[in-house]
Amino acid sequence: MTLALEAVALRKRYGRTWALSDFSVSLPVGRVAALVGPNGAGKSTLLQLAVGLLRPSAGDIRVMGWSPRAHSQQVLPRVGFLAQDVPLFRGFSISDMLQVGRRLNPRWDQATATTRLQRLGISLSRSVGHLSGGQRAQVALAIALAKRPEFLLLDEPLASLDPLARHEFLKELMEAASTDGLTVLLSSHVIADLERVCDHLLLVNAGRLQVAGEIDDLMARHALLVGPQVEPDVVIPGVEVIKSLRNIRQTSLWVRAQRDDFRVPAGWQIRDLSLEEIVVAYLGNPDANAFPAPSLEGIAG
Amino acid sequence: MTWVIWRQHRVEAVCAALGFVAATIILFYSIQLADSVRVSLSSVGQSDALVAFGDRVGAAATTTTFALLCLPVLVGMFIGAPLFARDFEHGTYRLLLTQSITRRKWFWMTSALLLVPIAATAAWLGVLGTRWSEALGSLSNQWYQFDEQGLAFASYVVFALSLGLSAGVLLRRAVPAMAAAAAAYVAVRAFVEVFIRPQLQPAVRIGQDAPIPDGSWVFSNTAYTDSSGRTVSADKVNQLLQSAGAIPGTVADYLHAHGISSWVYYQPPGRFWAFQAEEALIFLVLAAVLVGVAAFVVQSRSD
Amino acid sequence: MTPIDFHLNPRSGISYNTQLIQQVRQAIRFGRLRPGDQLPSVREVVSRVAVNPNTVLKAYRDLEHSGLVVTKTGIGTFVAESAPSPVDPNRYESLRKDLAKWVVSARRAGMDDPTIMDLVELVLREMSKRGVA
Repeated sequence: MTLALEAVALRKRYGRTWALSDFSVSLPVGRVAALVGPNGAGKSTLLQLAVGLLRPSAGDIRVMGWSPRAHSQQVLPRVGFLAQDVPLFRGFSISDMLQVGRRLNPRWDQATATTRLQRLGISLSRSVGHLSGGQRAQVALAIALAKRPEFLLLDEPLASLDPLARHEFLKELMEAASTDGLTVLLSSHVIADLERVCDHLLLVNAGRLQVAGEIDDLMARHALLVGPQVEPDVVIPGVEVIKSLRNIRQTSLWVRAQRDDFRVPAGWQIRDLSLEEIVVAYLGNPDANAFPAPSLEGIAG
Repeated sequence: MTWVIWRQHRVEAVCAALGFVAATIILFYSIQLADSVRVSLSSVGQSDALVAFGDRVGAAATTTTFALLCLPVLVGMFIGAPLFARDFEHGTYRLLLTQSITRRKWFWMTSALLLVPIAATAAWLGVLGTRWSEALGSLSNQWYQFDEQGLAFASYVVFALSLGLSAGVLLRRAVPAMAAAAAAYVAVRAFVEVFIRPQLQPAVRIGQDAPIPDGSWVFSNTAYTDSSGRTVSADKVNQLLQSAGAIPGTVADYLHAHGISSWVYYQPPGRFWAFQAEEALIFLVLAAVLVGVAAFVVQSRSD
Repeated sequence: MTPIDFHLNPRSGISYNTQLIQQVRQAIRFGRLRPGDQLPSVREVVSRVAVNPNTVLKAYRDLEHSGLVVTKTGIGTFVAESAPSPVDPNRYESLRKDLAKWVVSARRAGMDDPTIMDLVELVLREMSKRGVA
């Protein structure tokens, strides 16, 4: 199983602040992964480290098996990046921007990019400065995809887009992702955006990876248990409590099932948690972690 | 990549071209004016000719000098400083450095496409400047146009560009880089001109009243020694002269009668081109160091 | 390709996978999709509704497991010949009437609508866990 992104004990410091401390992650290829976390958690830092814009202070990071800074010639042609705030050259037309991509990359699919932009009603002769936020994002996405990358990283691509523009952007992204093997990692601090589009979640909190795993699996393993008032130290077998809320009448527990045969205790109700509720629970409890159980896939595959 | 660099910086390229064209025009005009005035004054007596020449050519000469003095610093500020600084300032380096080019290639190609044409043009202007200096002829002194001609002038332009470029890389903001480059340029140029240039080769010492070859660079301060060869300070000499009251004959004879010899230092005309080469070398070495530092920073900086 | 439009509701509490499956089942049940009809490709679905392609793939796979559709590699996904015929409208009506009767007795027992829904969901969840179709 190839890993699109692998980090081991990654650390990155700006001055005296540690943006990432002891950060480790393994993201398999083919996933559409959400990188979520509060502002300042280290999401943008991780993405920039992955494309070689930053150099780690310590630890190791590899993209498709290569170090992005030391082996940029192996990584960059296979990786597409959409930076935060979508930087495009002022005064350039869209076709100028496509020219830039064409001349700076070994592989370039001009036809798909122009078709896509025409389909979206964005004329190639327009100046970059006259585009709306949504259109800029689409242009930047078209440029990143025209490179035919294997791995696409997007730094808060939806941040300044209105709901319609967000929807349009995600549709284009998903259409591209339905091509075999494209791995996507996109960051946002709004989870609702990503829930329908991503199948994998990475939660970064205060420079550390707190939650990682398939979203379906996370949703299946987490639940809200509501029951009678109990003592704080009462242990419910088979679950780890992430968050709890008590009043004199009832106890609410946000839990992760540790075993597949977990049963709801008598007198308790269970309901599913949305992804956002799961994330919020973990953000409130930085010591709690959820990582996938090691699988045998790597050995057999 | 060439197309990308051109497309990014074509406005600056055009401005640089216009600037150089303007400088060329000014030089051509000055040369032509000086030539024609000199010819028309050839039948007039020496001292009258000097005054007349100065009257008619003076304004053009001042303009030319001013233009050529300013050109390097303007080029450094407006072409060199924004070159890399703008990409960092606007975040577009995040786009450029995640296409498939290496940092090394980005830096060297951009720098080369900037430096080489401008250096060549500056060399051409240096040649024109020499021609202009000659056109001013024996009525002027080529040392007075040291800064505006030849290798030295070209090296100033290259140095200013390198200062701008590396300031842009280090500071990552266009306006601070421009200010830093301008300030550093002025400081280094002034330092070299005032303190280093006179010492590039040991000056020739000659008695104050002895004849000095035409076209020499004469240093303004007179040196004094006593009969045993030790230096006498200018203050002491001034005191002596003041206490003397009215002096019959020349000052030099008077001092000589009191055992003090006056000396003047100069650099002979034959050394002019050697000086040009040596000063140019200083600035070119500095430029190379600056570009090397900038290359290293772009390659290795951890952010 | 038969135009079936998917509508995904992020707030319904039902996974997108399930919503897709349900909508295909419903379309078959109500005769909008007939045996032999081709379902939209993954790419088509995804470009109209911003959803993860794997979600669509999985839904189609699950539907294939349940025998409702058949995927022919390189060609597309089609409603299976063996898919259940549309629900007989009469049958549908009689089930509806039965349910209405049950709801009446549930209400008489003091259950309000949300509690009724909870009970229905609980039973459905239990039955699906036990593998009852």
